[in-house]
Amino acid sequence: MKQEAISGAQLFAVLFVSRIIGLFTFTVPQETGFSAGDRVLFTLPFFLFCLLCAVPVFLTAKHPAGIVGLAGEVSPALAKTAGTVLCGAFLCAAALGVLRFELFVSTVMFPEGDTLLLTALLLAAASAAAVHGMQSLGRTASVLLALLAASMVFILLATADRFDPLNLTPPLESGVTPVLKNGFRSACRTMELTALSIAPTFTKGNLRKTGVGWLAVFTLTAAAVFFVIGGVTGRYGEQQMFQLYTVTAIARFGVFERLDAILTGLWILGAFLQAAFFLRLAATAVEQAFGKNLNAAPVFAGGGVVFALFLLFSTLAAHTEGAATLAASETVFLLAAVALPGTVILAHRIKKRSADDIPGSAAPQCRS
Amino acid sequence: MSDATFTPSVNQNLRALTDLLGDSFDLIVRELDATGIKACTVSFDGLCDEMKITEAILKPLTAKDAPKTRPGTLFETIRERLFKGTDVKTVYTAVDAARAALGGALVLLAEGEAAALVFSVQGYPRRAVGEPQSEQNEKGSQEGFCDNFKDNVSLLRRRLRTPALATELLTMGETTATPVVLCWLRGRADEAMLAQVRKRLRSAKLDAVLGAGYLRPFLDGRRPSLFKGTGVTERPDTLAAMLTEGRVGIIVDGTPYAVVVPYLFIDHFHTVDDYLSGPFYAFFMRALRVACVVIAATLPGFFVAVCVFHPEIIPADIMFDIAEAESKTPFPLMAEALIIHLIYEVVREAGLRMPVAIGHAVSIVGALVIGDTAVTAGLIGAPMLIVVALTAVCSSVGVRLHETVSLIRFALILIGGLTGLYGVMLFSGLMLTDLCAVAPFGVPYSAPVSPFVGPAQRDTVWRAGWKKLGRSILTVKEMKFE
Repeated sequence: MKQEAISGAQLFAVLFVSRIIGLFTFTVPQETGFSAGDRVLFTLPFFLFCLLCAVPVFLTAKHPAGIVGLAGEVSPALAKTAGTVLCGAFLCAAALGVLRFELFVSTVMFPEGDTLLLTALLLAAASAAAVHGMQSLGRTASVLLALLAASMVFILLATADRFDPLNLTPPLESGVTPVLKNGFRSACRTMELTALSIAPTFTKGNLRKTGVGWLAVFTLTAAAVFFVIGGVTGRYGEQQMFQLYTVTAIARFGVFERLDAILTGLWILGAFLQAAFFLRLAATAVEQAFGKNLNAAPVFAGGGVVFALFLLFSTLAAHTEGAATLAASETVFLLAAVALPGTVILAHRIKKRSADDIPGSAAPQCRS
Repeated sequence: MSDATFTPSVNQNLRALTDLLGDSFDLIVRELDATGIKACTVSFDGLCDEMKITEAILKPLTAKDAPKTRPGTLFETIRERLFKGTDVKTVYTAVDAARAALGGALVLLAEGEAAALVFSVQGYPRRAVGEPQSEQNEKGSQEGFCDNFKDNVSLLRRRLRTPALATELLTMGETTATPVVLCWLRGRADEAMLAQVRKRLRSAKLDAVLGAGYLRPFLDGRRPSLFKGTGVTERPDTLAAMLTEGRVGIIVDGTPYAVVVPYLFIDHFHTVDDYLSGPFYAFFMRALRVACVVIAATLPGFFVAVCVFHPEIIPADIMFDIAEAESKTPFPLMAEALIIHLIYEVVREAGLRMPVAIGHAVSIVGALVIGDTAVTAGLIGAPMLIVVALTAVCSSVGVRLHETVSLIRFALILIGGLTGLYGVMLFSGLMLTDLCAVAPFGVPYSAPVSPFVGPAQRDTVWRAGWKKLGRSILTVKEMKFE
């Protein structure tokens, strides 16, 4: 499939929309002692963890062909391994995203519906969208971002009359550990960060600026949303599985006694875009590693793999009360965002150094 | 067809030509003594202006005082002394002569001439320039394209009096040999895009081209989509405006529309009146059109999805009224919506195809029998009828997107009835991605909204005043992605 470049702004939009869906599904059991105040405060360690993890990603993104290109300079086998690992990671990320969304569908939207069928529909639609390419996803994300921003402002304004500063519980009631722990966990759900390591091949502009800007804006948005949630719902909100949804369910505007339909609609569109984005990234990783353009069939096959992974994760989650998916999420993130770029950078440095030691030879230089 | 070239024998040439043209009753062959040389003319009855033939060609050729010529010099004499300034062409094969005769020209053959002269004396009946039927306006020109391509080109030239306006004639269709005119403004249209338009048109190996619609699929991209990167306009002023934006127009003989490429999504919401009204009113009207298209595409689907799966969204009082009305009807809401929309499409199609005189009967049947009686009989709920009526009115506003909107509407009713808001939103997302994936000739269909092109924002849904709008020219070339 021919890959056409997207702008930094479009990459920002697609990263933001994809990541904010994770924010909608942010749930922490009440017994962990994570208060409303902590929810605002935890965004700071979240941002710092993300920045820390972004360092190897940004280093690989310096290469014009991204992490796969950098690995290719070490050895073709490493490039293929990197591409395959990234493809697997993106498919897992898509499956985990779908799993979180399915939790919302099965508990709130269609408690008695056939969620397997609905998930299959979501993945079929996402696969079809992924076939259209990154440009199409970038443009779609820009439109969704505008819709999302307008809707969020509308929802927050509609809940303004219910906002009570007394609902905001003081932070660090249970110490600093829950704040750091949830900051780290939330950072591990930011698989979009890994996309930056292969983004140089399909993005124009300064990736570092886009990446840091995206993380900063997302963190501020998350802090604002949690601040409003805390002020509107207080202790009641802490007991809710989907807190932002709870806020919209109690919000009123004119004759409309609840605004959850707006959030639900955005949520569905966001989940669709997130799944399509990860599927497209998986295809791009394979294309880069194996130097072949993929047509529609492998992308749909990727959708099938995501569905299988979703089934696996949901079974594991049911048996381990969510611990397995949490572990899977953290493992996949650390592998793709930290271990893999770290290994590739290290291997590249070693190869470069050993080449420098041999007189008259030099490893190809990466563009910086 | 034979590709043989003419010989100096007039009889042989005439035979070659009549062999090609066949024994048609309207084929007129006149034998004459032209300035002392045996000659003959070949033309088709009804395609030529007989007065012009007699007065401008036959009379000077057969006049007693006409200069005498020798065999082999007649055409030279005609060109240099008799018909200076007249549109006369020389052709050397029977095929070219036959094509010219079929196009309404008079073909002159003469003894000693291994060629034929073609006189442009077309005079066939043609529809006069009239008001545009589907792009009516309030304040602008009332001239619309007609069926003849030459008239259409002249309508365009009258609006673009610049030497930069370039036209190129192509002939398309193996059997029909339809004249197709490419028009663009030099210096504004992207040369690469123009080359691609030519390439795609030449790749269209069609036997017959009887309208612009035959060529549009070749101009659209290869990927199947509900959204097309080509558009049509019935108005010469609209085409002229689009050419100034660097687009390419395609005028096909026999079609009262011009095809425009690339055609962007936002263009569907622009009308001539927008530019002739104040900017605030233009903005209001454009926003209204966008809202109408969205309502026409999604309202029935949303209504079915919300009523069937998510009634809690609707305010309680309204929900009770809807529930009461729907409880009296025998069909499920989705089936009801599908049936009533199908009937609406049938009535619309009937109104479009039937003679105007009978149109009133359709209106009465549609309004009274289907509308009032169906509700009174309890077959259809009044809320659903209101939804259909609103949808129908809104879809009339966005008439240029009717095909796409109709298909999306039916799909959304089905999906909304089966999967609720979930499916509706998912399908909407898929449609949005599809829309964003279309990029006719490298220009994103969703531009200048997404990708956001700052300078173009002065003429999207918002229209800036002429003082600002006229300051600089923005062409579609600037929206192309690399």
